[in-house]
Amino acid sequence: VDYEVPLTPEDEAFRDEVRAFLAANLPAGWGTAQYRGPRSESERIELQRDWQRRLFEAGLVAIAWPREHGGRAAGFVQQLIFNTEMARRRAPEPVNRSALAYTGPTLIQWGSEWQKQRFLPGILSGSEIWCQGFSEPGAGSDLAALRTRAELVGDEFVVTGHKVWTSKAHYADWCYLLVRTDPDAPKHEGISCLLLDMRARGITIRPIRQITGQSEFNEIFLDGVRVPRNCLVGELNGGWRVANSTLGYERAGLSRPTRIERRLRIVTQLAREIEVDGKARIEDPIVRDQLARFACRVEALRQIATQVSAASLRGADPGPAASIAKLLTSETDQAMAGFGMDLAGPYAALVNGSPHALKGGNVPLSYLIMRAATIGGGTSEIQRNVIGERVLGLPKG
Amino acid sequence: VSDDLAGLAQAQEQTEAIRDAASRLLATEWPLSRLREQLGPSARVRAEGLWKQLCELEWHRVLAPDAATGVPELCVMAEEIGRVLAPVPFAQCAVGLELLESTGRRSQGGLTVLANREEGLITDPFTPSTRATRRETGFRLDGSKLFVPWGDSCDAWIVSARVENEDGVGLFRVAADRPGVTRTPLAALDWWPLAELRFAGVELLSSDALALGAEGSALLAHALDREILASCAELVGVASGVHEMAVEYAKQRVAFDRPIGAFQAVKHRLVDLRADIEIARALVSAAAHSPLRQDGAPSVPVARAAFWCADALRRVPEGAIQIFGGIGYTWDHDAHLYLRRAATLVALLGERATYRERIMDERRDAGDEGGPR
Repeated sequence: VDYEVPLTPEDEAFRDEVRAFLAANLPAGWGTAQYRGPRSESERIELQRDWQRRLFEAGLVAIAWPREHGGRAAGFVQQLIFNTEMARRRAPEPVNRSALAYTGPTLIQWGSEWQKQRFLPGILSGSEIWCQGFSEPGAGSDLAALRTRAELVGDEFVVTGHKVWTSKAHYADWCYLLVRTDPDAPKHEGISCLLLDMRARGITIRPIRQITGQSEFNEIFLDGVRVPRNCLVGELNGGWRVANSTLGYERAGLSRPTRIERRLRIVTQLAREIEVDGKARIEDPIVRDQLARFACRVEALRQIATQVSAASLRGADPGPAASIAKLLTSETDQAMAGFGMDLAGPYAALVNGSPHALKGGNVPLSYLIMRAATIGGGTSEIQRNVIGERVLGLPKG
Repeated sequence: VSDDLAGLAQAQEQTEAIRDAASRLLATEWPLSRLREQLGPSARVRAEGLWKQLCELEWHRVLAPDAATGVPELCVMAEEIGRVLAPVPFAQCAVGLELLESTGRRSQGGLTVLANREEGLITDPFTPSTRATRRETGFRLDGSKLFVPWGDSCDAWIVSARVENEDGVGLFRVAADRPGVTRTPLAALDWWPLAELRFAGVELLSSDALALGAEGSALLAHALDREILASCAELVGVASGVHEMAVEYAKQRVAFDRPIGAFQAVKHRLVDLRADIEIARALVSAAAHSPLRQDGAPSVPVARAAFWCADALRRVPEGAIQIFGGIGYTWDHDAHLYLRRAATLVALLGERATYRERIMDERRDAGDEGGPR
C-alpha cells in the first residue's frame, strides 16, 4: 500500500535497507522544530557533501546506474521506493545531485574509457563536486548561440568566454562545459563538450545576486584557460548531440507533484486565516473559485504522475501528458505563489524581519522565488515549442 | 479496479485495448459525413445503425451488475464517441440499465433513461418538485422534467420525484405510453435529441418504484456521478477530435510563406489547449478509478472533472475555430459541429458553483502540515 505496488521480498529488503540507512544517518533532530539547519551556503554544501558520502558508502547513490559504473541497475520499483523514502523524511540532496542525474549519465553514454575511470568515481562519492557551464549572457533559450570560444592549440584547448547561472561554481572541482570550437560552422555544428578543472588558471567566479537578494548562482569568466584534449567529451564539434542527450535526461525526470500539493495546502490555509472585515477570505466565492481551479490542476498532475509511474512499470511510453506536466507544474506553482500575494493584501508588502510580517515574510519571498519557475530548466516558451514540435508535430518556426 | 499501481498498470492496458477497438469501429462506422447528411433547420440527429451495432457488442451493458466492465470503460467509450460526434444514447442507456438491474428489474430491451432535471436553475437534484403521492395500488405522479437527453426516443424513463411526507428521493419507472404522459421534443444547439416530459396524474404500480427514501437518494447520486463523468469523458473526446483537426490544419495552411503552425502565436495556443485537455483527461481518469463513496454522497473526484471540463473544454473548439480562421466560420466546415456539441454538453453539465463547493468542502480539513519551506 505504501508504494501502490506489490513488493517482492527483494524490494522489501531494499526498503528496509533504505529506512535503516535514513534512521542511522540523518542529522540528529532532523525534521523536528528544534533542528537548526545550515546557516550559510558553505554549511549547506558541507551537509550535502557529507550526506552524499554516507549514501555512497552505503551503496545508495545513483542506484539506477549500471553496475559496472558503480550503480545497482535498480529497476523502477526500487527507484520508487528510494525516492519515496527520501521524500518522506525530506532528506538532504546529495551534493552532486545534478551531476548524478545529468553529467554522469552523459559521460556513461559519450565519455572515453579514461574519462569514465577518472571522473565517475568522484561524481558518485561526492569527493569531487561538479557544476555545469551551459548558459551564457547571449545564449539562454537559444543555447546553440553560445560564444565561449575554445581553440585547439597543440594538445590543449584554450578557452575564453563567459558563463552564467552556474550553481555551486565556488565549491566545484569540475565543470561540464559547452564551448564553440568552430566559429565558422553552422551554429549547431561548431560546439564541443569539455570537462574543465575549476582550479585551472584564468577562471574568475562572481556570485549572481538574485531578485530575492540571495546568491545561489554564479557567473564564470574564462580567460585563456587551458583544458587538455583528453577532456573533450564525444567528437570535436559534435557537442550539440552530447548536450542534447543531457537535456533529454533533464526532461525525462518527471518530478512528483509533492511541491505543488504543499503549496496548495499553504494558500488554502492562508485563505482560511486571513480575514477581511472580519470574514475569512475563503468565504469569498471568487477565492473559492480560484482555489478549486488550483485543486483541479494539482489533482490532475498527481494523477498524471501516477499514470506515468504505472506506464513505466509495464515498460510503456509515458505519453504526451508527461512532457506537458513540467510546463503545467511550474506555471501552477507560480500562479499559486502569486495568488498568495492577492490573499495577503497589504501584508504581502512585509518581508522577513518586519513587525507584522505574515509567515515570516514567506509569502512575498515565495512570490519572488517563483519568477524562476517558468525560466529555469527551459523557459515555458521553449517548453511550448518543444511540446508543439515533438508532441503535436507542428513545424519549427 | 484495484487502486494500486500494479492494478492501474493492468487497467491501463485493458482500457487502452478497449480504446483501440472502439476508435477503430467508430472511425469506420461514423465518419462526419454521416452526421452532415442529417443536418437541417429542425433536424434531430441520431446514429441508429451504429447504435444497433454497439448494442450487439453490449456497449449499453457496460455498467450492468453482471458485466466485467465498469466506469473506466464507460469513460473510454464515451470519449471515443465524443471524438467522432456520434449521436448515440450510450451513457444514458448504460446508467438507466444499471439502475433497473441493480434494483432487480429486467430491462426490456428498449431505451430507459434517467429524467431528473427540472425547470428553473436548481442546483440540488435531491429535492425535485415532481411529486409522487401514495395510492392504494401504488403511486400517482405529477410534475415535469426538462432537458432530458434522448427523452423523446425512450420506451420508459426513470423519474426522480419527492414522495409526499417522506424524506429522500423516489426513483420511478414510467413507461412512455402511460395515460397522462406527454413529451415535447426540444430544438437543441447540437441537434442531439432533448425533450421535456409532463406527468399529469400518471398512475404507477408499487413495483414501478425502483427505490425510495435514503436508498433512492443514494442510487440517484450514484447514477448522476456516472452520467456527469461520462459527459466529461465525451467532452474530452469532442475537444480532442477538434484539436487534432486544428493541429493538422496548422501544419498545412500556409500564410506569410510558412505553415501557420510554425508561428508561436498559433503553436503555443494549440499547446495550451492540449494541456487543458490533458488535465481534463487525467481528472476523468482519476474519478473513473476512484473507489465508490459508501455514504451515497456525490463524489468529489467527479466534481473536479466536471468543474474543470465546464471551465476549460468549450475553449478548445473556440480556439480551433480561431485557428481555422474564416473557413471555420462557414456552415460547410466541420468545426461548428464540435463547438455546438461541446457547448451543449457544458450547458447540460450542471451548475459549476455546485462542483466548486463540493471541491472546497473536501479541502476544508486540508491545512498546511507545517515544517520547513
